[in-house]
Amino acid sequence: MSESAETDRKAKVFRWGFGSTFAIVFALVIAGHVALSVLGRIVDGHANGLQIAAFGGFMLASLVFVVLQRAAILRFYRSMHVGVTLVSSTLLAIAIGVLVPQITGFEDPTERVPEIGDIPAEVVEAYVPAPKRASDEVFRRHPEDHPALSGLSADQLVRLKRWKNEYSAFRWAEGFFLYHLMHPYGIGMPEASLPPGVTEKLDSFQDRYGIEERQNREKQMGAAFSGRTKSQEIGNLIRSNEPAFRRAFEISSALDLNRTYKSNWFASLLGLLFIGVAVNTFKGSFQSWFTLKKGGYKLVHLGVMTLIAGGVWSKLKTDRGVLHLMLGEQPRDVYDGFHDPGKPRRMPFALSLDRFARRDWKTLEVGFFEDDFKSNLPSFTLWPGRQIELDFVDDERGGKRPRIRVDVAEIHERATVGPPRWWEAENPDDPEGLGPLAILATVDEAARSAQRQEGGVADARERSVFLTPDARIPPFLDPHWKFRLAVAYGDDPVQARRLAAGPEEGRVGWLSLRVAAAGDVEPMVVPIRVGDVVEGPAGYRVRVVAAAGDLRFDPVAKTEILDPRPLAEQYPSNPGVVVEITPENGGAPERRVVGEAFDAESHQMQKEYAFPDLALALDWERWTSPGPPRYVLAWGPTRAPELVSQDGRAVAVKAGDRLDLPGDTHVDVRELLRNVKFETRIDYDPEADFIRGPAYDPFFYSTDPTGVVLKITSDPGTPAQSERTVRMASTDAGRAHLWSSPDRRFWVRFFENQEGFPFEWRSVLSVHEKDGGGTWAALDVGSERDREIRVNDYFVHRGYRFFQTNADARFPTYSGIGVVYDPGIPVVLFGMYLTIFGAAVAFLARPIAEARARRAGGQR
Amino acid sequence: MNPFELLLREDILLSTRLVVVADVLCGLGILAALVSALFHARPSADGSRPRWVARGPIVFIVLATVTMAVGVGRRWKEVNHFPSQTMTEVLGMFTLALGVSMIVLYFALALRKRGHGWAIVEDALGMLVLAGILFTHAHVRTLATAQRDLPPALQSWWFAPHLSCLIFSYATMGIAALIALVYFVTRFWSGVFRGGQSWQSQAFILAGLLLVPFAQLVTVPMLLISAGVFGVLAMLGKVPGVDTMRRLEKELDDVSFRAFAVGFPFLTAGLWMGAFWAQEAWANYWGWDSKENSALITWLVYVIYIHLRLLGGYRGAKAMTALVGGALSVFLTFQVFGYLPDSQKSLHRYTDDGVEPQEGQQGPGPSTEQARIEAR
Repeated sequence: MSESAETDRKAKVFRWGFGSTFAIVFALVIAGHVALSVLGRIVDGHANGLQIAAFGGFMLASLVFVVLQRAAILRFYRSMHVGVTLVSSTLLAIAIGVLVPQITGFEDPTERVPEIGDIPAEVVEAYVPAPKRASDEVFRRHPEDHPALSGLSADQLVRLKRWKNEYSAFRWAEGFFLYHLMHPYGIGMPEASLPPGVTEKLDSFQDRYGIEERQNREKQMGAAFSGRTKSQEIGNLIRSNEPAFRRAFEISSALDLNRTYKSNWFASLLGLLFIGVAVNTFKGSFQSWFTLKKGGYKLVHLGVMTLIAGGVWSKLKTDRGVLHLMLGEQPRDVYDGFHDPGKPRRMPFALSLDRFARRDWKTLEVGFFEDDFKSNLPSFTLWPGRQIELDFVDDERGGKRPRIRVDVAEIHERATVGPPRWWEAENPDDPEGLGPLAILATVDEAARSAQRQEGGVADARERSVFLTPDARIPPFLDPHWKFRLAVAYGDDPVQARRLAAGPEEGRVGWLSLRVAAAGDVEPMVVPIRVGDVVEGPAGYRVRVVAAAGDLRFDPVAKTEILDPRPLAEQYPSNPGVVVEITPENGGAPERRVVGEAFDAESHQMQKEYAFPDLALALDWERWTSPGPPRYVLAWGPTRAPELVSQDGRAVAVKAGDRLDLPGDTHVDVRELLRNVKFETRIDYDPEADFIRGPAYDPFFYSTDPTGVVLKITSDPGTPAQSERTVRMASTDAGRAHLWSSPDRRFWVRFFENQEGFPFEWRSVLSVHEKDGGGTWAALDVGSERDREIRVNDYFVHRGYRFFQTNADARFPTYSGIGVVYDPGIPVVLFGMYLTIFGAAVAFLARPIAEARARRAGGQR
Repeated sequence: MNPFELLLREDILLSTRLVVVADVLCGLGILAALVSALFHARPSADGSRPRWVARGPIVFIVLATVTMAVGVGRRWKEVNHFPSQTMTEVLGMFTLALGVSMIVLYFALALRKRGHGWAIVEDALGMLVLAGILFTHAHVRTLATAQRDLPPALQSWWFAPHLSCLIFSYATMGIAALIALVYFVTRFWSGVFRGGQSWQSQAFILAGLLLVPFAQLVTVPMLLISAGVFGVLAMLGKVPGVDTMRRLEKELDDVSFRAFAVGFPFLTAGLWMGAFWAQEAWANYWGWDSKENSALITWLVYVIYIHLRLLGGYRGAKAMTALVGGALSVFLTFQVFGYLPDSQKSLHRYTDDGVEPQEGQQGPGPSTEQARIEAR
């Protein structure tokens, strides 16, 4: 060959550029996607002969190509452009997964957005409304009641519902994202301004709780007020671009963009990346692995390869799900695969729940008697050594100083509250006294009679009852619902008669209504009777449809069960009302059950309602609601005690007498005090120290109340400083959870905060295997400490990992145990450690060593 | 309320007040850096510079960093856990990391030893970092400071090392990107005042500085301030020409790479520590959660940068563009994550105000109803 021809040949050697490599990588990814899809069908047994033959032919041809063109393939993979393209493509693929919401349960490789091509289009269009269209609200709660769905089969219904859920989540997430993209730096977003009148309340709030608490609350309110408008704007954006969102969802589903990480195209991309990394790792001399110059990079590459290989093993072999366990139940060996009850998985052994507990944060609330804040008071999580300062006034330096300082001296996990000690204050006006108190003893004679009839010992115990005229203390209710008893103190006999007659007869309670985004900082609280209509905030009309003393729920039908008896005959063990809510612009009303015991807001259940912005709460009025006759035990500073009945009759009584009340519950008067001084004995278990964090604590499972010792200082740093040590427990027995300052300026409440998430959940599991007779027998796999699981500490048995995953405040004996079987975990983690070590060698050790070598060379 | 009134109020947390003290030190540090830069720019009779002037900026950076460290320690005591749960706390850690990174890079890069021109660059970098701390603190003052209880998943000994590594790396990568931005801004104004740059490259730089999302928070102030500086240089006839810019490009690229090299191992370690922690908390080392993915994207951007630079021979402006891209990815992961479409059901939404973490419900809700029905 002539020199010029040789030169021409060399000059024409092809060089990979970014464009060409991207095109090849893209083509290979598509080819890999198709090949893996066909392979999947072959493995599942769904492939036909043509597909099998095509796959076989493709694999053979690929093998031949690789063998024949191995040099060119090596040169391809060793090109910088290919390396960068592969990494960039991986980055792009992951970015797709971030920009397209992944479907629920995408970790399950069999999950897809259901096909709905066989469902008539008019049914789909009727059932998939734009967000918040009022006419569809009632069907949002009970979609199976939508008339358009009546003609569908059960399978079609399930698929359409699932499709709708995925589409709704998709369009909201994309709408939210696009809305914020169109309003960079918040430009054009609704302003958060507080309604008039709020600022003055916040000023008082600031004086009590400090400027930072005030600012935090202001920001919270601002976010709530602007949040509603912003949500509406996002809804409008979605509504006005519905076809585009629908199309985008269909494309995402067709191309597996909403299950990116489990798709075949992503797997083939990672496969190409693995090959690229491997080809560039295992080149050059073996000695280069042990040089600072190359060693670090090679270790990083090896780590990445190990990662990907481990990930493939995980993908092929992993199973995960949730195992539902209840205290006291039989062992279970079946869990829900990928959290789907329709995909049960069986383990070669079973687990049972020995212990389960939820521990809440120990919390303090401080209130001031003069204040009338209707919104929640700040609560303070406690730990030993915490200091809380409150009630700020100006000081001499122009700053602020606190008038109250609370120091947490001790916290105990177990407290025992002994019987309280009380006595009459020597001075009837003693400010440290708590005022009048009636001490009564009750015996359930009906229970004793029943015990005697059965031939047993009549040991139904006498119970002490403490009643005060304080309206916050509920009256005594006969367990057999034959009478109600309250107390009144004062020399005016009319007061007791009026109380016994029942002010506001028929009132069942107080309904609290709040729409934070409408400017309701504090709730609107109104007395209600059955049949009342309340004009609530934000134009909502609330009609009280029914009331019940004991609300029950049917978990299957998800409806309330109302006692058919008259309300007056229902003991208020779990009282509640049923209301009908109509929005301002009319439209389908929402029927909602409001129970006294269940606060939907704090349990984040508001979003389940058709009108989630309207928060309702109920205080049941045990005295005036329909019920048995009322009696008032009255006495005064100079007035002799008497029992006043509802019809106005009064009978004189004295300490030691049995009150003349209907029914079988006996009530004896022990003492009637005019100004009681009171002391509750609280003992703490010295072994049960404050649980600080993740470690085994046998006291975690104790159901006893917890305790705290506070040091409360008034006017710290001034000549008027005074200190008290206050012992409290998280139980209302003996009012151990409450304390008032002697000057009646402020009160303190100690409790375990059940709102939001707890401090921790822990479970102790037992492992069982079947014995020869097929019965579950417990295995000895270690102590409780070894078998305990927490959120950050799982339990391993035969390759299965069990971790604390689910819990529910409504079901305190239930523990959801996450199950993972993944043999790839150690491989992946090893790869990650290799990558870290390699990066440290390449970017820290090497430059430092080279700098030292340069300095040493320079000195020589 | 002025900062000095704020310092006297006992109804404000001590950690918040310490941030104010740090801000004052940052402000003084900016002044010190300006004085130092002016002194380095002025020729003296014997070519020397007063040491105390040259050391002024680093002294204030150290003092501000120590104050912020004390503030973080105090916040730890106030909330009884490693203070990186709320956005206020995380940004507080970030500004502390900026200070620590600046101190580390001050000694690792030792720019002042390269000459007076480099000392000016070092002073400018110090000013930018201190200004960044000030602006970040100003933003923090719009956020809630309420203590939030740690959800169970965050009660792990991984919390401190994972967050510390990541935040330190973000700060260091941010400074590396700042160095790159110093180059681009200098090159732009050099082209404006002295010419020698093609209009395409000028348009590309200006478009990048003004239009890349979220970058305007940093680039617009830099452009405006440097416009003033270059205006003065132009009057003095000292605007760097094309040859100087080529040398500056090479050397700033080298410096920015060395700054990056300090942070990259920490980024790698922080990223995978998250996986180790997720494995302990959820037995799922990689759940493809959008927060994890955003962090991985950032890591991959820097992997691309490494390959382009070390294998592709990309140097100078091209390489520094990739660095700035990486910093943008850091910002998206850190601050914008909550708005991304796949983030709505993320388990990582701890720092967003008003969002409750999704503890206790790893899977769909029906599981508990099922359990209750089965129990009956």
